Amino acid sequence: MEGGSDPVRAIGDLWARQDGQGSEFDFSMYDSRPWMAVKVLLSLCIITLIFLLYGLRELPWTLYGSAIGMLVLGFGPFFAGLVLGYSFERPKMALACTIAISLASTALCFALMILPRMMGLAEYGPMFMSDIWYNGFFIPFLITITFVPAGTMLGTSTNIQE
Amino acid sequence: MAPVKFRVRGLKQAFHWLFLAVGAFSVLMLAFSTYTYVSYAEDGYGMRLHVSGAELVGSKLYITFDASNPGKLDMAAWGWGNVTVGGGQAYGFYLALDLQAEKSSTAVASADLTAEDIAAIYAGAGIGISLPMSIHVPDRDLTTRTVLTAENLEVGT
Repeated sequence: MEGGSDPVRAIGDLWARQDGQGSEFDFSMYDSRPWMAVKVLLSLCIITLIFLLYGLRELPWTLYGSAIGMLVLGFGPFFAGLVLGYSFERPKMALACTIAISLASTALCFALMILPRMMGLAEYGPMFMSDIWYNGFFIPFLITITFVPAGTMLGTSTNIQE
Repeated sequence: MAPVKFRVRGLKQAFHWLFLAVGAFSVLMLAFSTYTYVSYAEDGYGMRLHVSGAELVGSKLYITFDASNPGKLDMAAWGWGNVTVGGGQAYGFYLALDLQAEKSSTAVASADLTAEDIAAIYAGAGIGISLPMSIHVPDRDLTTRTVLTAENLEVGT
């Protein structure tokens, strides 16, 4: 055990030196109100767009049915959560905010998918709503409770000094 | 205004700029995708339909329609249309199309013309087409409409 303590002590010294260095990242700028407002709004748009493009299979640029589409569906919200998480030092606050934003995106995606039906632009049967509940609510909700919190925790954990 | 100078000081800063760029793009894409989806439901559901040719064989006029479905949902379209020669008598025809996802299809409609109209075509008259169609998308359980109109089309003889 004594032979193994030198590398351990060396790593401990390295981390202590890194803690003392501090960060060059300008937190006060990226935590400011205008930036947070922009981040929230753009996250809402990015996540809503990704959910919408997955649900609307009729668009030529849909994310449905391709491997790249599934990767974008998973990791788009992940990176949105990551960048949002960079603004928080408390993980619980970060999780609450980003999950709320993602749930709002789910609701917005759902509303946009039923918009033509609400406007009465075509004749719809009952299977339409069943499809919308699945692709417009269930799949986005799964992403909300998996990829978004994962990205958020990764982003927030970089701000925690232990 | 002084040019903006920045050095990427770290991964976080790079991610923020990438986020801004992707966010700006996604605002535009969101508006455009919503508009496209709403206009699909209102008219045609993204089906591209046009007349690719008309030919007179004997006393029968054959009109070829090309249709394509760019999205990932199957659709069926059908309708009763009218064709007129130089604005004269209207001839009815029926057209039915079965369009699978991301596929194109061709259909031909025919009409028997009177001797007068045959002569008019040989004299160089063009034909006019009006074709209202119903479009049914089974996966979305919806039915919408579209109208194809064309005027002064050349007829091959």
